[in-house]
Parts: sequence; structure tokens; C-alpha cells
Amino acid sequence: MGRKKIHKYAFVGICIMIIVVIIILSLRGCNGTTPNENNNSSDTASDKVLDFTPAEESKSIKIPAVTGIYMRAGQLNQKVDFYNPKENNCYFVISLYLSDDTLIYKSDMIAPAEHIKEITLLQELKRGIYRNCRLVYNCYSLDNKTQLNGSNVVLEINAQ
Amino acid sequence: MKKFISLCLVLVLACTMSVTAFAESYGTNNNTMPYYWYAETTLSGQIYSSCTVSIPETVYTGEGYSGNVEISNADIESGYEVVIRVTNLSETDTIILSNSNNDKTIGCSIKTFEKTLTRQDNVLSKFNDKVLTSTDRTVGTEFQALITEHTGATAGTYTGTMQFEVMIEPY
Repeated sequence: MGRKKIHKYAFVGICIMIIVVIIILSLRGCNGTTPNENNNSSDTASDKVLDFTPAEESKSIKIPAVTGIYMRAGQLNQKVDFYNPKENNCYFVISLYLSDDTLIYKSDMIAPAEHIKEITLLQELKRGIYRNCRLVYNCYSLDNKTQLNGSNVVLEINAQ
Repeated sequence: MKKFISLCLVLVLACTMSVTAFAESYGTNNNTMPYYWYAETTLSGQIYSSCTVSIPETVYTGEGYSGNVEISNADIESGYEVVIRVTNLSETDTIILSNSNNDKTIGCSIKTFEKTLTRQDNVLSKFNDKVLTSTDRTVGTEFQALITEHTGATAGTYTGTMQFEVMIEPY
């Protein structure tokens, strides 16, 4: 009778061990890791890291263009709306030239989304229309103020 | 004496008598209307054309790279077009790039789908009011900057800038 019990317990123990081994093996299979005793495997592609730098998205500079602006004749202080669009990633320095390349205004660095509503001209304008003036946009990077591409806008100044 | 005094009294009486003046009425069919005058003067004002031009912040040289100039938010007077030119082409029709020491230069030609820009023909992009106001979309022109002059240049990074001119002019 005792022997039967021993056999019975041995059988149950073996079954339990088999079940445990199966569970362990299945869990290791789920992890996807397998013991790699040999490090000289020919499959080295998974160890290599792709040395790749994606290209930067090309950035653009938005320039407000207009064919003319109104100014008050005979005075230096003027009301304008010079601005740097908020989408830009650069500073503007805006200069205003007459057709004979006379500089009549130059701004400081204008940050994105900044507007200049009042300016002081370097000389008064007589009453009339000044054609082929240039509003020059010089653009500088925000981080180190490196000069970027720029633009001139040809316009007339209507001084009244 | 009495006659003289009576004559004077009559004259004084005549001078003190006031007569009410009635304005002649004007109108047709016996309707009365007041007199009036009118004048007119003309007023004129101008709202200037405007748009937003997008230029590339930087342009990398070589095949496969390209830059774009785009026009958006256009409010252009009828009969006008937006013209974008590149104004700093050198005598050899290139944009000059310099190395960090500024002792070596290379030249880049600017090419669109249709042409290579020259100093005589430096129009990069042109769109008229019909195109710009018929749709809300942005229109633009793609271009490439290709190194065409590098005699004497050594290895290194060369940089320069492009100057764009924007005109809104009649066509």
C-alpha cells in the first residue's frame, strides 16, 4: 500500500515539474530573448545603429509686401505698420530708401510677431508721391543673428 | 409856420411807417419751396495692393535640393501682377558664396523649371491678379541653386545670401 502511495506521489511530482518547465519555456518564448552563448554570431545587423540625420524641414521667411504707404508731409514722426509675421523664425531689420538710395528710416531688430506703429524719419518728406522706393527686409537668425536671405519690396510713398 | 410844421409831421409820419417785405414764392403749381444751393466735390482714396511673399530662409546647393518662393494672402488690384526677382546675381549670373575665411568663392546658378536666371532676365516668379485672387491657395515657384563655378575653391563650407525683390506692377 505504501508503495502505491509513493508511486502516486512521484507521478504527481513529475507532472508538476513538467508543467512548470513548460510554463517557464513559454514565458521565455514570449519575452523573445534567447540565451546567446556565442557572441561571434554572424548576425551583427541588429547591433548596428543607422547613422542617419533627417533633413531639416526647409524654413521660409514671410515678407509683407505692399505697393504703397501713406505718410505725413513735413514731419518726421510717422504712423506706419511695419511688422515681422509671427510665423517667422528670424529677426527683421527694416530699412526704407527713396529711389535715389537715400536712407530715410532703419529699424532695430524686430522679433517675430512684433509691430512697429510709429517711426521717426531721418528727413522730412515734401508733399507728393515718391515712386520706386524700397522697403528692405534684412533677416537674421534668432540664435546667433547670422544673416539669412532677405528681400526688397518696391513701393511708393504717398506724402500728404 | 403851421403849414411848415404840419408838412414836417407828415414827413416824419411817412418815415416811421414800415412796410413788411414779402418774399416772392417760387414753385410750380402754386406750391412754395425754399431756395437752396448745392455743391459737390469728389473724394478719392486708394487702398494699395498687398500680399505675403515667402522666401526660403536658407537654400542648400546641389541636385535634390530646392527652394520655394510663394505668394499668399494676395489683395491685388486688377491689371497688376506680383513679380519676384533675384537682384544679387553676379556678372557671371551666379550667386557668390564665400568660405569662412572669405578667401575662396564659388558661384551658384539659380534654375527654375523653365530657365536659368541671368542678370538680364532675373525674374524668378510672376503671378497676375487673376491667378492670385481666383483662389485662396498659395502659389509659388520652385528653384534650385547649383554650383557652376568652383575654380580654385578648396573643400569646406561656403555660404552666401540671396536677395529677392518684390514688385507689384501693371502687366
